[in-house]
Amino acid sequence: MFPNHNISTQSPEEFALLIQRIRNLSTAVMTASEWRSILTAAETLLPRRDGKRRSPVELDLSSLNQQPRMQLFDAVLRAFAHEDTYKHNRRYSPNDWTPILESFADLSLYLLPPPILSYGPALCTLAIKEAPTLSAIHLANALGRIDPRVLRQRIRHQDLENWRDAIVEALRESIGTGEHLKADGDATPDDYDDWRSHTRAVLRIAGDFYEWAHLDPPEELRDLDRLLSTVQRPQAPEEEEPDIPTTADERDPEYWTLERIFEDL
Amino acid sequence: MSLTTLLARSISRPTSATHGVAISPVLAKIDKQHILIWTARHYILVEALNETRLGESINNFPGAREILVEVGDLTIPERAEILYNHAKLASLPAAARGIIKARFRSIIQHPNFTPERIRQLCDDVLRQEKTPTWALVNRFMTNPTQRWRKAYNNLSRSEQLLLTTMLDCEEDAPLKTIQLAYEQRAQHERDRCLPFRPVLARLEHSFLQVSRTFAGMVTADFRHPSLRDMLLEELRDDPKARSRYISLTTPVGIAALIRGQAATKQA
Repeated sequence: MFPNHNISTQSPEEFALLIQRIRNLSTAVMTASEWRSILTAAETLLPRRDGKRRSPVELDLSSLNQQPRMQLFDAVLRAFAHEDTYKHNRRYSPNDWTPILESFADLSLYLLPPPILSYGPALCTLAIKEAPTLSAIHLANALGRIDPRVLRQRIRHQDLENWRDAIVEALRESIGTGEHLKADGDATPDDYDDWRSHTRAVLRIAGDFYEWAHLDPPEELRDLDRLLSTVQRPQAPEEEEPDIPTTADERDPEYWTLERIFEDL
Repeated sequence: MSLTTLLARSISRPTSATHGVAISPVLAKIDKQHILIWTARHYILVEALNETRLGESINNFPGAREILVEVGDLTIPERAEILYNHAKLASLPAAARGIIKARFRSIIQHPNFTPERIRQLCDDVLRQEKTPTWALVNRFMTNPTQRWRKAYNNLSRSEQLLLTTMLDCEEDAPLKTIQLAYEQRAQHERDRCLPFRPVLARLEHSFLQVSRTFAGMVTADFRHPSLRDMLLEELRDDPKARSRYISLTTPVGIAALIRGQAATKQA
C-alpha cells in the first residue's frame, strides 16, 4: 500500500471550486508546457485496463460521460477549446501548439459531443503563414485530426504545393544521411539513433500529410521507409562486465552476526 | 549484461555500503537508448510514465508496480548495515552510540524502517540531541513526520506560505516561478508577508534546497519528499486551508489536483 502523495477535493463545494478553476484556465496566460501538464493530468481520469488507457470504441461513452470525474475532464477540454485560450496564448509557436493539439485530438474522442476547437481556423492561418517547414505541416496535420474541414476551407492549392516540396526536400535529406550511415564504417550508435528518430518523425509527418491532402506520395517516401529497415545500428565497443560487490547477506553468514556488525560502533 | 539485469542486481538491495559502487555500472550503460527514471516517490514515476507515454509506445513496457523497489523490503542484515553506516558516518556521541548498540534490533525491525528515516534518525535526531534516550528514538521511529510538523508549526506565516507555494510548482522549479507563485499567494494574505528572498534564505538548508542547473538556472525544491508529504497531510486535515489552496493554486497545482481525483477514483 502506497501512501497518498496527492491532494484531492473532499466535498462537493471543493469539487465545484476545482471545476471553476479549470474553466477559468482559458482566461489565464499559461505556458504550453502547463497546458500539456493539465491535459496529461486529464488523461489519468480515463478508464484503464492493465495500465493502458482503453480506447473510446471499447467504452460506453454515454455512461462514462455521466460519471462525476468526467466533469473535470469535460471542463479541461472545453477550457482548452475556448477562443480565450488562443487570445491569451497567441505567442505560442507551431512547435508549442502541435503536441497539445495532438493531445486534445486524442482526448476529445471521449466526450459526447466532442468539443469544437473554436480557434482552429486561426491556427490554420498560423500554419499557412509560417515558412513551409515540417513544423508548419505538423501543425496542419494535428489540426486535421481535430477538424479536417478547417484545412479544406483554408488551405489553397499553392500552399499544398509548397508543403509537398518541403516534405520531398526533408525526405531526400534523410535518405542522404541514411545512405551515408550505411556506407560509413566510423558511424557511432548515437549517429544512427539521431537519424532513426528524425527519420521516423519525417515519415510520420509526411504520411499524415499525404493522407489528408489526398496527394500521391512521392518515390522518396517509399525509399526512405525501405532504407530505415535496412540500415543497421553500428555496434558499440565492448565493455568489460562490471563486478557487482556482494551484500552483507551474501557474505559468510556464520561470521557476520548482527552483534558483530555493531561491535566497533 | 543488460541494463535491466544490472539494475536488478544493484538496486534491488540498496545497502548503503555497496550502493554507490554498485550503481556506477548502471550509469555507464545509460545512453540514448537506455533511460533511467529513478525516483523516491511512486507518484513521480507514474507522472513520468504518463508524460513520456513510454507505457503506451512500447508494447511490453513494465507497469509502475513491476519496477518498484520497496525500500521496506530489505533483509535484516541489510537493515543492520544501513543503520551501522549512518550511525558511523554521523560521528554520534557515546550516549547515542550506546543506545544503538543496545537497541539495534528494535530499530531495524521497526515497521517504519526506511533508509532515509535512519539517516534522519542519526543526522537530525541523535546527533543534535544532548541527552538522547531510547524514548526519543522510539518516538521518532513511530511518528517520523512529527519533527517536521513541529518545526513547520514554529515557522512564521510567510515561511509557511512559501512552503505551501512549493506545492504549486514543479520539482526543482526556477526561483522566478516560485517567487511569482509566492507573491500571488501573499497578495491574498490578511497580514503583510515578508519579501520572497529573505523567506527563501530562512528556509534554505532546513526545509528547502537551492541548486543551480548546468544551464545556470537557479532552482529550489524540498530538501526531502517527506516534507511535501507532511504539507499534503496538513492540507488534507484542514478544509479551510484546502479550499484556499484550490482557489489560489497555479496550473501546475490544478494538474496535481486532477491527478489526485484520478488517484482517489482508483483507490
